Amino acid sequence: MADMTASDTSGFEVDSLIETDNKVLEQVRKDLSEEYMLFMSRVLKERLSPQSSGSQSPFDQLRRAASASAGSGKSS
Amino acid sequence: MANAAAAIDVNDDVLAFGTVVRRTAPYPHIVSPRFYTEQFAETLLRWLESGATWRLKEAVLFKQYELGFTHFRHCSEIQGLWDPGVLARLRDAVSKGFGVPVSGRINISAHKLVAGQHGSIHTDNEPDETHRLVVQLNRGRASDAGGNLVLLSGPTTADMAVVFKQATNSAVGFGLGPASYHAIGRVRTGTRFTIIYTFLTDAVTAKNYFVAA
Repeated sequence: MADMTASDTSGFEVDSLIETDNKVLEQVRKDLSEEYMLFMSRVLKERLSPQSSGSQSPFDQLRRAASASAGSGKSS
Repeated sequence: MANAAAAIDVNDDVLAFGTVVRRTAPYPHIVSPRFYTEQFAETLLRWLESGATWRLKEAVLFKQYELGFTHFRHCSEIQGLWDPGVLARLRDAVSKGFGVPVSGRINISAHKLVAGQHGSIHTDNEPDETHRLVVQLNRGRASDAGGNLVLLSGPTTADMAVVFKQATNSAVGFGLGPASYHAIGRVRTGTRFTIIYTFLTDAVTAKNYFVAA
């Protein structure tokens, strides 16, 4: 591990791993948005269901669900 | 003495990880263009493609196939993956990369995502997990194949900060915490394989980890 900055040869090599194509970036953003909206839709349905306490905001539920899924998920 | 020599040989046969660059935005992370040796990367990818037994995992935020290597210690062709000497070198390199010591207690798993699978925006903020290192393995994925690892500065798509290409044998590591937002874009074509190293705290009580030498 000789190099720790992005300003030399190693940095340039790593920079090439970063996506810069706007078409690809837009597609990724669109896909994430769709998944986000689907997730929020599920959260809202849960809130509106009779079994739900409805005491948490959708964002709170998003954070809670994200945290709850973390340990087993390792979804990287 | 013989054991030390053997450990060095295994290190050299498994890990490359010679170049590690630390980046700061949207939060500290490290990137390496070559994680494994070419030979071990090929061996491991071939095993993932044909020898692995996958379990489908569906959660509210993601859908993927998974396996944990603590159940595959009998697979001699990939045993370098959990060799204590290899893990020690990995621990030391990751510690140097982040500038903080990470534990030698390391969980190793693999993920397989096929078309339609994804990982929504989440943090993986768990008490016993400190850092995650993700290694891509594939035979070439087109830029529009989907499955990109994305780092974000917040919980919405407007916070998208870095999208990584899926160059095989490249690695991305990041600390886990309340702000480590990341996601995996929906896979459109082909299969996305990754090896996941999770660095645990020394206080972890679960037994699903390997220990570095």
